[in-house]
Amino acid sequence: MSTKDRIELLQGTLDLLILRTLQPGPAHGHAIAKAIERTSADVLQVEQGSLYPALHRLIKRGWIAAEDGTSENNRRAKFYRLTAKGRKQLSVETGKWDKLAGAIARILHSSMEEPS
Amino acid sequence: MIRRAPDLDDLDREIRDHIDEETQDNIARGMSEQDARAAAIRKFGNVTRVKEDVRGVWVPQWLEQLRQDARDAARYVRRNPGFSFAILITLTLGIGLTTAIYSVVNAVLIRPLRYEHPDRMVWLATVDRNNHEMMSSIDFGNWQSSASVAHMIAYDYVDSTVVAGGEASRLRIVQASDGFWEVTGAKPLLGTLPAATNPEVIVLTHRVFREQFNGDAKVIGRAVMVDGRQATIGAVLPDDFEPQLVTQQWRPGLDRVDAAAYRMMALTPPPKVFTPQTQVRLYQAIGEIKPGITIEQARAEIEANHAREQREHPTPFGSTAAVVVPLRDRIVGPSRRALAVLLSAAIIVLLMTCANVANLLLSRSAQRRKEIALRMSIGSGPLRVMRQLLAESLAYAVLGGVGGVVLASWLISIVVGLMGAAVPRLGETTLDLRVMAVAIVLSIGTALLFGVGPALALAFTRVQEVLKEGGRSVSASRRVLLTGRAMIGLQVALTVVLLTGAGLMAKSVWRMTSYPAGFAPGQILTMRMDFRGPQYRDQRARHDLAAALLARAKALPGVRSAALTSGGDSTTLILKEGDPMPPPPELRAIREAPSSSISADFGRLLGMSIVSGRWFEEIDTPNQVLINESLARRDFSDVDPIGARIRAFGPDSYGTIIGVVSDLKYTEIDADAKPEVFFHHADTFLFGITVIVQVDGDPMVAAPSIRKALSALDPTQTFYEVKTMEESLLQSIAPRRFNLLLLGTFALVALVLAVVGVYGLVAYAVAERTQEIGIRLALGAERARVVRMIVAQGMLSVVTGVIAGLAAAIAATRLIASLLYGIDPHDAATFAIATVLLSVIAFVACAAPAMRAAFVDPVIALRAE
Repeated sequence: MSTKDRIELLQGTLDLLILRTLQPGPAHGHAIAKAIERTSADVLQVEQGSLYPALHRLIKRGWIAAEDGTSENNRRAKFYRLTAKGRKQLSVETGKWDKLAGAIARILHSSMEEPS
Repeated sequence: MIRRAPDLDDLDREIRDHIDEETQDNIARGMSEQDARAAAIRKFGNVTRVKEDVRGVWVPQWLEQLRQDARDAARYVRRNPGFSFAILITLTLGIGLTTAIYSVVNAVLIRPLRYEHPDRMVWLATVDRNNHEMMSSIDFGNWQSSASVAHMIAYDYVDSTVVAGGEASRLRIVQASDGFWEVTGAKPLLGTLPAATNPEVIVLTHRVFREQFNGDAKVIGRAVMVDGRQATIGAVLPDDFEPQLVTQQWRPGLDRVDAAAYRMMALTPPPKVFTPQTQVRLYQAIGEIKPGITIEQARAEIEANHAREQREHPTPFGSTAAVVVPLRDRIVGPSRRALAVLLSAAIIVLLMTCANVANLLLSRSAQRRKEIALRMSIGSGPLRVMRQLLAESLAYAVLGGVGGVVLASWLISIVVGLMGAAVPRLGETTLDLRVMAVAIVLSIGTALLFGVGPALALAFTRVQEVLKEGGRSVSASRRVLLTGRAMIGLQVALTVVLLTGAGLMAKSVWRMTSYPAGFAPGQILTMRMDFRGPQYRDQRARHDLAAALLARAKALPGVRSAALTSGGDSTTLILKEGDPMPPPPELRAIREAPSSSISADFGRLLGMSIVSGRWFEEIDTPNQVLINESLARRDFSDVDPIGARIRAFGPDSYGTIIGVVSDLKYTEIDADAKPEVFFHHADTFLFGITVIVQVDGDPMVAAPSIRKALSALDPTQTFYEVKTMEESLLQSIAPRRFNLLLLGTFALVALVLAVVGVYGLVAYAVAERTQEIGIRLALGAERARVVRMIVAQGMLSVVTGVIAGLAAAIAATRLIASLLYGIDPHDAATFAIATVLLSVIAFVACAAPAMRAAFVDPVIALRAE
């Protein structure tokens, strides 16, 4: 796997996490960042700013949509919600990720034999 | 699937809110407010980059970079107002002027004629040994059988009085023979075009249809009176129907027939035998050559045909030669040289523009060497730097181009407005986009070459070396200075050439319009009237009306003096009593003189004086004649003209010369005075009459009431060409004034460009030497000395240029000798004025930056690096 592909993977990972976070319902930017950190038990420390380019990337692909709403502390805020297309994408990506993670886990945890 | 970018403006708010919320969370975790905010910001990361990345999702990167470059370039243009102004004025003037002039030249010289087959159209005429052009119905009839010509059309025009619905107006009607519709490719907008057998059908131009008939389609079939005869309106032509028709040379000031309407004309058949009773008409003629036949072949055929006819059936017109030339040459012939001169001037200005742009950018890049090297070394990368320089150059080129377009359209409208009627086809000028493209591409090319080129060269040299030079890049700046000096010298030289040329033309026009004492054409009002309609078939009726007009004009309030003239468009053979009739070839020109029929006060009103003898009286003995000094000199050098009798008023009738009047150029001012002969208006046939009046105050203010009072004598007649005599004179030299206007503009622009160039070069030299000047001043050099040194260096290029320019001007002005009048092409005063003017202005352009340099504080100058 080349260096370029790895960056692609990381980027894709953030996208997947955002889609997953939005699955229960719409959320605004800070809430998404907080949710990712909290649910991953602070293991995934994303630079919060990089969330926004990712959100826009997803809007462009049509997986999520942005709409104006009011946040819990009564501020006007932009809420992001999953579109039908995004929902489908989430299940596809989740499936892929599970397969990939499973494969990698199998390789990492198996007793590797020396290649002859 | 393409999605529209969402509004990115609320991204700022979103990020702010995000950081605020994070801060609140941190405070909730127990941080101090300050720490909480700092941590939130840290955790968010680089806000600017986030914003750029978000934008980058929607906007392609190259577009984003382009925006950036454009912004940088715009900032650069704004932050360097002096430099920007110099380069923009150069580009605007260069592009604008060149395009405007080329558009004019294109309209007049190059654009095809409005004919069905413009390249096959020829002008047909005969010329006698004095180059008098004419086409008689006899020759035309004989030529019509030529095998090489598909259509041969005779035409003529009459200023007719057209009465439609009780209202009389004057329309110029072109009457043309069969084939006219075919060669012009006329397609009627309304109605049908009449056949050659239908001369009583009038075809209106769109202009007349619009302006005089309110664009009412019901005009077709309407009955009108044309010069007292019944006619009907048969068709209306489209707006773009404007075939270029040439007028005869002998109608000065009228190069183009501006037709208001057309009608067909029946040809007078050529006589088998020529007798004194044979009707001969004069036409103008054009022809369309058959496809596949060259003009040379057609000419050879017609010439042979004509020569044979002349041998076998001689006419009293004397021997003539056939003229078959491309119609385009005949139309633009007279202005060809002038246009060539203007085109050369345009090329000179364009060259100067490029030289100036190159010069300015070269000096600029030499100054920015260090900046550029520094940017490359801190990792901007040569590509990024180059792109920015490219953007700057393009910004100038685009701004200059826009300025040029605006200037060009403005200039064209001015030129057409001033001279549209005087120069054939000039009115058709439109902005020529191809030329504008060439001018802009040339300018952009220069801007890019000299704006980016030096940086490109820099990219391939080692950046560190440039930085080590510490800005004192002696070798580079010396190279720039040398190039710059050469270019300044060239510009100054070219400017001298243009200035002297324009100066000579200005002096020619000035010479023409310095009228002799006593002649005040601006105070004299003229109006023309023809005798139209059957009631004036009798000459007596004409004389009665003429006398009545004169009496009425004299009695009008505010009129100081009034007179009549037949207009001087006929010629008389001067033959002394007892002299034998000269053989036909000598009939014309050498023994002829223009003649007019005048009333008694004509000469005095204009400001002529009597040299010997006496004026006419209003009621005088019949058959008396006045001649002018030129005629007296030509034909009466050995005898006293007073009392001599010359042939006049008909084949066997003689008039007695009663007076010699001084020469006065009152119709043509760009030629020497011509011999002239005057008859009393009561003695001659009258075809038309010009009433001239001298009034108190502005003649054009008095004109409407005078016209009305005179029209009241016979409302069926119209007065036209109501204008001051000065206006007619200025119109007659309109092409010269046109050339002067254009060349003068060129010279001025060249002067501006040269000054900008000189100023730019000296300012650059000063900037380069700021440090050196500071040292000199600190060491006690006198300021005057510093100024002298800088000015002397600048003026060296100027003086070299002036000398080269004078040499070139001596050669060049000889080429425009034919465009001058009453002045030597090497007129010393003009050359001197041009030289002094240019030198003084160049001196100021040198002195300004030198003064600024000398009064700089040495401390600041030394710190500048």
